[in-house]
Amino acid sequence: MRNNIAIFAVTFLMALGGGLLVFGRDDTPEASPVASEATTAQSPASPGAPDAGEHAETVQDMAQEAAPAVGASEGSGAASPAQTGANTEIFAAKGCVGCHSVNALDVSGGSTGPDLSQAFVNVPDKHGKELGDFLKEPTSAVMSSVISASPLSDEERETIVNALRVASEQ
Amino acid sequence: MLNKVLTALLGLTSGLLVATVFFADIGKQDDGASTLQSVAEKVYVPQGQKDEYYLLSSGGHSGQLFVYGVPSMRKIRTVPVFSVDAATGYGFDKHSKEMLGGYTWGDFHHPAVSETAGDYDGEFLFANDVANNRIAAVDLTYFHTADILKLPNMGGPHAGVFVTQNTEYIALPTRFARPVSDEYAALDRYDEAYKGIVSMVQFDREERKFNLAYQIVLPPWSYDLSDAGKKVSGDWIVMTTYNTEFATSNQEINASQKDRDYLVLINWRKLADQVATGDVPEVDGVKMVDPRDVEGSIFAVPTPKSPHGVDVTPDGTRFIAAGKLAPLMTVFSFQKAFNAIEQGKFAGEEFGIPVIAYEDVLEREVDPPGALGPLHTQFDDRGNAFNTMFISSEVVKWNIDTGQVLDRKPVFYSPGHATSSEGDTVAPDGKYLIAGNKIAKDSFLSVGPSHPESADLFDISGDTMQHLVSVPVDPEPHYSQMIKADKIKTEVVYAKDENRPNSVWASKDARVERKGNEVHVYGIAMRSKYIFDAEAERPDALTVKQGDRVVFHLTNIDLDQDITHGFGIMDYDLNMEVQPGQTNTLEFVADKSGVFPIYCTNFCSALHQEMSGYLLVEPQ
Repeated sequence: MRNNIAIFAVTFLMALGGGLLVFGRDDTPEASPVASEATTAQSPASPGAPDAGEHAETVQDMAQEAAPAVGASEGSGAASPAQTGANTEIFAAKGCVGCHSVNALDVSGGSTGPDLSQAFVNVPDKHGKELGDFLKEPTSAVMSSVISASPLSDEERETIVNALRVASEQ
Repeated sequence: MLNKVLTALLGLTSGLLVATVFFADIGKQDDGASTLQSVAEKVYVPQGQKDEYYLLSSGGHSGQLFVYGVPSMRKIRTVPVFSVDAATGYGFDKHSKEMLGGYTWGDFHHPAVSETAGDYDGEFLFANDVANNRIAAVDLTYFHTADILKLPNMGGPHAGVFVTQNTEYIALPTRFARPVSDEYAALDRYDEAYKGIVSMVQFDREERKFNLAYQIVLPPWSYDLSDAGKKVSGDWIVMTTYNTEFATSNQEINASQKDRDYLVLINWRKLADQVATGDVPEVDGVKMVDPRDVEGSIFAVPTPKSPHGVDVTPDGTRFIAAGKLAPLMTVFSFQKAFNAIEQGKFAGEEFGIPVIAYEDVLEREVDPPGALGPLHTQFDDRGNAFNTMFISSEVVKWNIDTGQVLDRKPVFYSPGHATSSEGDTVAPDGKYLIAGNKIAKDSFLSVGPSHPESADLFDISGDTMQHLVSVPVDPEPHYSQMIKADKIKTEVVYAKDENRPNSVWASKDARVERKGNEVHVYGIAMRSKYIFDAEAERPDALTVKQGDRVVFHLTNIDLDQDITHGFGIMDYDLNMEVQPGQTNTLEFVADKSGVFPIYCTNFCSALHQEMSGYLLVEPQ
């Protein structure tokens, strides 16, 4: 009798295990295309623009963090640096692209701050001073904190102003 | 030994049985699982990608336009049209306040995108207000309401708006018959004193202005829906009627007595020619033409019973009535109607309107077994029609040439209109169809006694329809337009126009001008400040006297995408927005003395919280 119980138990478990192996294979969780796409979508493909924070410090941090991650710009039909002679490397070098793009010069960056294509014209209208003076002593809170944390040399400022003058003429 | 073998077999069988019960997919269909997966993929639009179609959907008695993306069915925007909207300041700022004309709500049923050669051109969307007799144009470059026109003599333009194939006219037939000129007449005089009116409106795209070209006076039937002809029928408008019984009370019963009401065919080109001759009377300054005076311009066709929608096929050869109280769709032939008209073959007259016999225009009746309450017809690119069935809660697909029913799918629940992709143009896409449902019942998480309305999205590109998703929507979905996304060309910043009246483009030019008890502010908004007066000690504070009329002209000089500024004045119940590059005006009387903070209501920047100022009102 005991033997029979043992035989039943062994064969039952064999059949159960075999069944699990055969039927259960289909249940192996596989990432559906939807789920995997969703995961992909969550990892930012570009140093995009997080929402503006309440404080200038946040923006400044973002600018500094995002700057090194800036990649190649997308073709947008804008003039290339070779065509315009504008030095566009300065925007990445100084971290401007953490918050700003310059579409007219084919410089892509963040979108938290305004696109700078017309900044050469707009800054005097908005802030009542020329772009170079504004970059030396900004009259907006965000730019004041950005510049005070990372001041520009006279040469750097001149490079930026020249590039943005070219941009505004595109 | 035999005992042991039997025990072993019993063990194996039992184990297999238990394994089968617990692990095998009995009752599940593999293809069902993969179908579900592909349905999810079909509506999933990953971050960074955009939808294929705009769904421009009427907001019913919210009065507004709802914009969705298809196939994701993500709601993108509410565009205020007929009702006040605090979030955008619509109805607060001077321009939109004047456009609304003192009304606070509207009942928007049927949008129509402007057409060129019978196809959507994507420039403007027209909207009807059934409640307050208005028509609106939404500029699809900015998704802003550009103009609203109040229509006299009307009793609710439910049967509009439908555009002729080159948007020559936008037709709005009336639902309720009323005496014209706002006159009083007792309901006992319904037959002779009440009129059904069709407004024929033109729209000047350059000036962005409506013009009420003329009105058509008709018998006091109720005009329910209409459609403009296409190609061979391009000069015609067809309209459904109900209440040909002239019921003036308890319409549910009394307007549902006859087995047939009428379809009305109107030749708008003949009427326009007549109006152009000048030989047309004017009622309250509006040219009003009686089509019975213009030979060949109006005919009636009997149709079963209290019909709702009538829709012209993409090739313009046929018009299809949805029976509502008759459980069938009736296909009529324009050519047969033209033949009867040419031969003068009429079955009689009603109100002086020649009636063409039903059989002389009929091509076929389509009566899917058990399908009840057909309301509207839409089309694909392969000769098929799709009908919503309100009572049996389904969409029926059938072939126009054969009348053969090809597919039926349930919806959740009680659909009114259907909208297919580019489905009322000369060239439908045949990809998607939306059913706009009146009832949601138990489809979504409960929010109490008032359930949301809903919309069902179908993929109609295959032989059978595939239900993709059901989404809750705000009250209330009527008709929509589903237009290919690349047909709409938007601007995201208003162009800098230094000649624009009241605009200021440099902060140093911001100024305040006082003329007696009027105070005009020519100011700017930029992130993150207002400048009302560049010369003032506090450029963002305005001091006025109690009783002064204050006019704020604000230009948003942030010429950047998505930097909209708000402008709320505390305790004055005022708010407006100024979009990038826009100039907007807020006008009011400062009738309360005190100190009233002003602040940006539309989150604009890191220093949005600091974007503020003061209105100081000195007591008299």
